Amino acid sequence: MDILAYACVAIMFLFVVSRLLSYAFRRKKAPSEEELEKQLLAAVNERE
Amino acid sequence: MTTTKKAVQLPVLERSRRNYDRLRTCRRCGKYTILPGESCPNCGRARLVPVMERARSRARRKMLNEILFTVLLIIIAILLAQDMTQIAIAAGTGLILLALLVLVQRRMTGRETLRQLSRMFRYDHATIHDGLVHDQSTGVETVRSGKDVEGYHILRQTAVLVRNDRLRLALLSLLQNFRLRSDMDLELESLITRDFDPLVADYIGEIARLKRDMIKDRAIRYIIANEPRILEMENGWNILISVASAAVRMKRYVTMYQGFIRRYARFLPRERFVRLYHVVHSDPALQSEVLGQDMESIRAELYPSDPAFEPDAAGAERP
Ligand SMILES: [Zn+2]
Repeated sequence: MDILAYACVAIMFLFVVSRLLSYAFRRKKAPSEEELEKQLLAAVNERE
Repeated sequence: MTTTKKAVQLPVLERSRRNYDRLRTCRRCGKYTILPGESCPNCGRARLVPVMERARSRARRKMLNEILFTVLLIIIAILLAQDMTQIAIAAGTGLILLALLVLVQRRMTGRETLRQLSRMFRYDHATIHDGLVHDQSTGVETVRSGKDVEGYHILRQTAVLVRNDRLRLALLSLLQNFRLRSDMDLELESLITRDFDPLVADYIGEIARLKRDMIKDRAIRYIIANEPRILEMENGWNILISVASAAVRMKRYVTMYQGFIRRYARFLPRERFVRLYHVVHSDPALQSEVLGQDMESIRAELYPSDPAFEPDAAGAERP
């Protein structure tokens, strides 16, 4: 049943790689402090 | 009018670098507040944390879960392994992947925190809004109970995030009762309303008298845009003269708002007119305008033999 051990390693590999890729992807579109300030102001004042 | 004003000591507003630095959320009930204080205004528990801290712990929790899941997979793989080779492969690959994940996570903590903060603002926008409404009503209640300085300070703290004319006018009507001094921590631009209100005009006039340097484009434009209505005010003429007096401290304002300056040049206090005269005189472009001609005629008419207008007196002028 050694296929299960390899499958587990494969899942682990895919999981970690997918995390690393998503971090690499988010790196570019992380919000800046100015954007967050604007976002918060919009959230507070939207119903006015 | 000045006799009814109250001598007060206004608390200084602690400013933060970013507008969300002072916003806190309750770990227990999830409500938000911008006011300082130990306990949550909603549930009363002392479990308030700055939103930035909350976002950081959420980011860390998420990253920790990723690590735990990877460790779990390593353990399962080792348990399922049939021989030493497989154990070595599972453990080796697992540790390399884990190290890689931890390394990347460490470099991403700052960005992930901002991303979590953005999520909080997006998903909790209604709760944040309600929290600030609650903070404002706390301020209004404090004013109603007679503590107008404390109430003003509370409302002023909410104004870091709440931007509307109603709050601005509430702050201005409170300020109107206080005897303002130049050493007070006052602000101007954030209190200028979208629509005209005599309260704003009065306040701009008062700031122009107390802290001339605070009069900038927005205030000058507001005054110019509402000039006819200000002239109808009891104190309107004084407001306009004060603002014109403040505006002549910079050549840029004189150039940009020439028409306005011209209308009040004749009525400026002598010292401010001297300042304006030298500003216009130092700039050939301004001098060739109608304003330049006005300067000479006003000088000839009001200050015929005043030595302050000689060219060499210019250096002695303060802005
Ligand atoms: Zn609470």
